[in-house]
Amino acid sequence: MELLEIVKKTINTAQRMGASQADAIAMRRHEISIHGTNDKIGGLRERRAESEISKGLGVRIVIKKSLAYGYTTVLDENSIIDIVKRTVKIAERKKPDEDFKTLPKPKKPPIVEGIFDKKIVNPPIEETFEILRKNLEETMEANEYFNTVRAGYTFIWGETAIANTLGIEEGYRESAVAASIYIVGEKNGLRISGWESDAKRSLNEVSIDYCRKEAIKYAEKALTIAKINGGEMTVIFQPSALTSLMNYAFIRAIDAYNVQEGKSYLANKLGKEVAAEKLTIIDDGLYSKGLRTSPIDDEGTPSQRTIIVENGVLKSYIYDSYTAYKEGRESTGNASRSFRSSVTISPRNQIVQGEETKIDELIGDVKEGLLVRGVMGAHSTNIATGAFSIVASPAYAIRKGEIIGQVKGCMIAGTFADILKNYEAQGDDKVQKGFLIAPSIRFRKVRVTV
Amino acid sequence: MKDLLSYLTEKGEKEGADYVEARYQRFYTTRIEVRDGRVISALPGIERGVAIRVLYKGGWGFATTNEIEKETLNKALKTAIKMAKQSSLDTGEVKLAPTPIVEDEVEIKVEKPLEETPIEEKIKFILQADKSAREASPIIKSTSNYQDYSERKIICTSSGTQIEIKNSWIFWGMWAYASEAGLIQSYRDRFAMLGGFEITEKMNVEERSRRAAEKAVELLKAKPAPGGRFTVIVDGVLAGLIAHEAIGHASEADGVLRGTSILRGKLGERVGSKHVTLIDDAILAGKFGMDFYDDEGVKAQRKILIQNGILKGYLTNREAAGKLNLPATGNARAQDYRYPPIVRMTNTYFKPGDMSLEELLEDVKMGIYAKGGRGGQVNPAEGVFQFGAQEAYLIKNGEIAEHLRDFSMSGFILQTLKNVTGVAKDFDIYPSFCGKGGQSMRTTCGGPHIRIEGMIVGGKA
Repeated sequence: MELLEIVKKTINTAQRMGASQADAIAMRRHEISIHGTNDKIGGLRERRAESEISKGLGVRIVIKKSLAYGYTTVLDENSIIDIVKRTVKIAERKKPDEDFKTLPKPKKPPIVEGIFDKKIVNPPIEETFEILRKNLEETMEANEYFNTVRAGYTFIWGETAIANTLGIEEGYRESAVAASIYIVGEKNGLRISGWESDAKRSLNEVSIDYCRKEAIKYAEKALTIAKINGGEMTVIFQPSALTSLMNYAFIRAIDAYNVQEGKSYLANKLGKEVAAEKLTIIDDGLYSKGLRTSPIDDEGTPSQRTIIVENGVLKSYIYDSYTAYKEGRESTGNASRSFRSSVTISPRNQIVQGEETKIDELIGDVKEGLLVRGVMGAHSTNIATGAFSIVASPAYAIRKGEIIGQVKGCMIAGTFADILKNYEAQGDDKVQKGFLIAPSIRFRKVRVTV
Repeated sequence: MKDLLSYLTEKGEKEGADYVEARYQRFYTTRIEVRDGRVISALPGIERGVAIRVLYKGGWGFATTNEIEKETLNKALKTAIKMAKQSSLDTGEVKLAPTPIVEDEVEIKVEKPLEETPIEEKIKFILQADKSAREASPIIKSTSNYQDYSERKIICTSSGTQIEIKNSWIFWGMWAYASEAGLIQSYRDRFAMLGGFEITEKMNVEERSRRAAEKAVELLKAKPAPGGRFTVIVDGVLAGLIAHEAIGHASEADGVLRGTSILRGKLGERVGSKHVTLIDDAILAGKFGMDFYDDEGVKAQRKILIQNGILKGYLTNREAAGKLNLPATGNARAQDYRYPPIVRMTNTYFKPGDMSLEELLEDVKMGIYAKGGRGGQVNPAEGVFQFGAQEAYLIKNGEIAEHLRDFSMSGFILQTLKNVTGVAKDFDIYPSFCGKGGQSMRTTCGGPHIRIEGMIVGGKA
């Protein structure tokens, strides 16, 4: 494997130039995306296809206790020497970091299957255009008020190699394919939209039919306006909405960097009850066919399954090697890095577990409430308090167990600590959206402003 | 490199393409992150790559690679043509709006080139700023970021345009966190300009950091914002967010064309109150969103989008302009060689009016004065937007009263613009990276103090 040779050469060069420790990550990535738009009003029929091939090398140099990073996308021998030299220079001049212990030590990674589909290396482009054409037309014909439909496919495959001077030498290949449908419509001056996307590791598993059906379903429900009274109510978050909210309001709170700096509302809460008793959240880097599954993390630590919240009790934060060794414990395999960046902490596949209720019952049991499919503004969550104030859009009113129409312009405010405690039940419609693997989840007593 | 790019565009044309655009870019960048006086990372990087875009009978193909050899570039061209041909099997007509053929070399004046400035100087610059935040108060923690970027870009099109651009910029940003008795409040600031390392002398980052720290401390005593509908007066920075998020995105012609903009079909119509004039000015000298040319080789320019409440124009690329029978406005921008150009804003702002802040406040019995932006989001298809403010104050009987925190508001674009009942004469402009279609682009947005009726405020109380 060519990339593995490159990272090995890089760390050898680093050692020759005086590094006490070094690691290197090399990546190659191929991406093909195909998009189409049909628009009834302007008569637009737009098609485009894009291809990206990129590769790069990132290096981390340790001199005594000083760390420095560098990267290049030119991978010939001279450029590698040049970037190592420059990075060594930075490390030499930086103040030592007394909290730094060591780069990760080698451990045998587990064997992971099902993350690389070789059919994605040569994706069926002509066939995909035909699938798009069919879906664009079928979606447009589904409802007279639909004006614009967009559909797309993205195929990605890549390889990653990591080596460090302590003996880690690993590499793996992975692939992903994503499909999406997006609808815009208008009825008597009311503008609506509806969308769905699906992402999987292999070609045969991704379903544009699912995207079309869901997008149509929620676009149609949006054609009716429903009014709700503000106040505390039962709210069901669908996985896509939950992903955006949790990314800022939960993941950042369990990130060991924020916890160690005392910036997180979940700092000093290990072993304490932070969520409803029925709720369990797991960070799993080995989840079968998960979008964030791989044998190792981005500094070569073997992937693992980490229980974050178990029956409501906070069990662990997520760590890379730096934050872990600082506490005298082991990394949870959550180091995340592209060749362009320094190491940060990211979730792997985060799984929300609990007793599953049929989705019809989850909604059916709600007398008055809100179903939220997307949120805006989650990035402004105050991670120290967990306080957020977001727009629920698109959101739908539930009355007597039925979705009766969309609610425009409503905001949800609260703290995520309260949200975790007000978890009530979850559906059986589990999907992966980004890092999150979760079904629709119902919470009590959520404050809604209209 | 120019010869190689011309070779590619000519070869593409020979193989039947209607239009070929080849763009080479080499850039040098440094990113430094500092937390509480500690350098977390200092990361220099060099990249170069080529993007090739092909139009064939209405179908678009695009290929990018950072492996620059004649062989791989030929392969990329072949891929782009193949993809354009496959796209063309099922597409409508594309007529690019005309643009003059240009041969030009332009550059941002630089005294101290970024690539030659030792990284120690850059680290020293950001450490000093970071220190002054923590010196402001013992309860302050801080995070500071520095990024610089210098690029050489060459754009060649099959129409004969050949433009070489040398650009250089510095971005600085920081967060101050104040904590006391279990409560943490934060305040952020950022500043960015085009130029070489010499502009760091004009950036006043030490004073800005100190002020941010003081603000964070003040916010500890602020009360959570109430929820409900209010008259809101926003400062220039927050007005800029409205200009960018709420209206700027809806005026991008690719969205208009694809039916995802609420402003479709509204040219010449009233979309806001008479107080609303909105401008996108790509040639505002030195500002973070400034361009000489866009990535299709169209000259950058100043555009009035809304004049006294009437929608006057959209931001276009050549394709959308051709379809809508409008001029190409030079707004086709690509983050870097990995991406095709798409319609983007540059420096977007509300034009100041003639009132003072006191006059805006005068008539407000009960309202909120919100200051500083904390990011925003918009769904231009439905016209819903959301954004957060750094801090806010209650307004009672025309007077600024209690200090508020955790403020965020939402509204509908057209309603909001029509509810603007006053515009002040001051002006503030603020840099940001705008995200769209997976691409991050340098922009600024700004305006004066503005009064808006009936905003939805999401609060805790």
